[in-house]
Amino acid sequence: MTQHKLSEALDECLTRIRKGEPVRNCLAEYPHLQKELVPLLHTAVSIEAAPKVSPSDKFRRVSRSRLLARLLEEPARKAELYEETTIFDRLGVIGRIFEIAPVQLLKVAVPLVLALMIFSAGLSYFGLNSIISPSAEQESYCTLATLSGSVQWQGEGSNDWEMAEDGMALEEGSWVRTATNSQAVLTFSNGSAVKLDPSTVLMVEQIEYGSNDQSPVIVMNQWLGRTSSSVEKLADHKTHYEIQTPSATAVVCGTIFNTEVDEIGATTVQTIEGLVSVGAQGEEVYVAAGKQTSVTPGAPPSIPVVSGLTEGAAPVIIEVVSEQPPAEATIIEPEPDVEATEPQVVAEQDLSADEGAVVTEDEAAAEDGIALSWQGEYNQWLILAVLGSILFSFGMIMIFRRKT
Amino acid sequence: MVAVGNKVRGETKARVTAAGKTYSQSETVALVEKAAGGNISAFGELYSIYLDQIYRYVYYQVKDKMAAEDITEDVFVKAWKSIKSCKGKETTFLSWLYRIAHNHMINTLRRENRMVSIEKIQSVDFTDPKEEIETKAEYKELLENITYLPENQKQVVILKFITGMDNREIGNIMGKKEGAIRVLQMRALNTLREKLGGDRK
Repeated sequence: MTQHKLSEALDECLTRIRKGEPVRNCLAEYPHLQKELVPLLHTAVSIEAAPKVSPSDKFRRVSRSRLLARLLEEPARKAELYEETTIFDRLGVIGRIFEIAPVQLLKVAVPLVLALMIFSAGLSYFGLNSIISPSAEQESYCTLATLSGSVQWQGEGSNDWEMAEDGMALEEGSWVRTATNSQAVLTFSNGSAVKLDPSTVLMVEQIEYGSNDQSPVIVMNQWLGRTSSSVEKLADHKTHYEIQTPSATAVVCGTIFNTEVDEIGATTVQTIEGLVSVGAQGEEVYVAAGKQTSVTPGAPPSIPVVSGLTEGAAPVIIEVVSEQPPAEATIIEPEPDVEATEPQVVAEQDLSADEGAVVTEDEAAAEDGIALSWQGEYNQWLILAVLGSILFSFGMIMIFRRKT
Repeated sequence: MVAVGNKVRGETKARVTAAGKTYSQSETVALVEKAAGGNISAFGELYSIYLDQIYRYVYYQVKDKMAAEDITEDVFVKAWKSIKSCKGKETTFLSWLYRIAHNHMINTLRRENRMVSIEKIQSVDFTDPKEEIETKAEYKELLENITYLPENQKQVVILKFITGMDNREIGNIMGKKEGAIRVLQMRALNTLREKLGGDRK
């Protein structure tokens, strides 16, 4: 008898036992190995039957928030986010394949590549995520995780600040404030998260996760300090994510942005990914990725300008400094599945991707629901596609000439 | 408990559950694709799905609750940093995650020169408190003996009998053929049997 035969017999028995077969049935097939197999099987079954450890409930609650906060601060990853395969990379690969393939294939392949490009653009436009994301009912919760220092909270109707417990659940009406050297992160059950920098005061005004036919709604009041938000949506729902400040309202869908409020009540909103609508005094601007807008109390939002954020900067920053009550909320219903793109509510408005645009609430409401496909990131994407096609065609012609 | 791409146990088991949600293999693969494209939310979902498995794998090797929690979290941060390398290999995401866990754990333990103490088992959160009382003593002895197995044998025992993987998956993680895994499994069980028998005598 070799070790090899015994190990095979043991493995066969283990597989069958795992499928529910009695031990004796397996042993019956290996009468000459029973003496060796019995104690080994007994040991294996004992290990499998031992109680399994699991992470504690507290760790489970807190760790996801903490992890997301850590991921948002990963400079390496941030840089990588913008290093996705470009159309030029793809064309390069295709070009190399064509170089070694028969020239006749070009007649078939060129239209095929163009068709694929149009198809992938279509998929991006209509939201690939909506096709592949799992659909699930959301459990409603908002969890607070302390990243550093001391964080206090106040329940609705209470006048006393208490030390926040890491991993605690927050309900609507709860206040959170961070000390000068403290950071915290709130995570919502739909995957969205907001990080509070030091000296920030925030109130959770509304959290509603619905059943299958309802859209999640998250509304917060940021009175002071700086927050970074990462907003995620379910594939089959539009998420309304809104931060109200004393001077403005930022409405987001599927994006990452920063909000900052200074001591005079001014608000700065910086967008790192996607698009954020910032409203104040009845006017609204759309802040595209890499741009920021400022709002001083009593004034409309400024035209968005380049934010100058470096790689690895926090995603969405809102900064507020004021004791005035928040401005009236301007609620926009973003269309679903527009992750990291412009909401369709801005359709057909004269919105420049580079400069942003100021539109009134009435104009926005009147145009609600009309798609706009030639703006912002899509505009850039399509320009890249056209340029890529031209370069690709030029490259193919050169290759063809060299071969002939 | 099933890994993505487990053909042996079939479609009925090729689903994972996290926080009450059940994910099919195609859904987890889609999540990996999205995460590899930079979607943090998708990665958060993957974290929820595989948290228990990775935590368990780490815990049984370090046997310290706090250390296991720290290492588990670090594993996912490391995974996120290099998630782009998963593109085109989505079905082997879990194996890849285990490899990160193993390497990170070994490095951490080496760096901290951690001394394993069986006393730390007191802090284990058992899934069933009743079961905990009945089996704690026996379990502690078994766990202690697993700890002192040679590294390869220990890894096979944990992956096979605690996380529930099959030989093919274990082979992928350890970079060995299934035949080698079978032999390691037999040697590990033999060592444990001798050790447990000897202790009882």
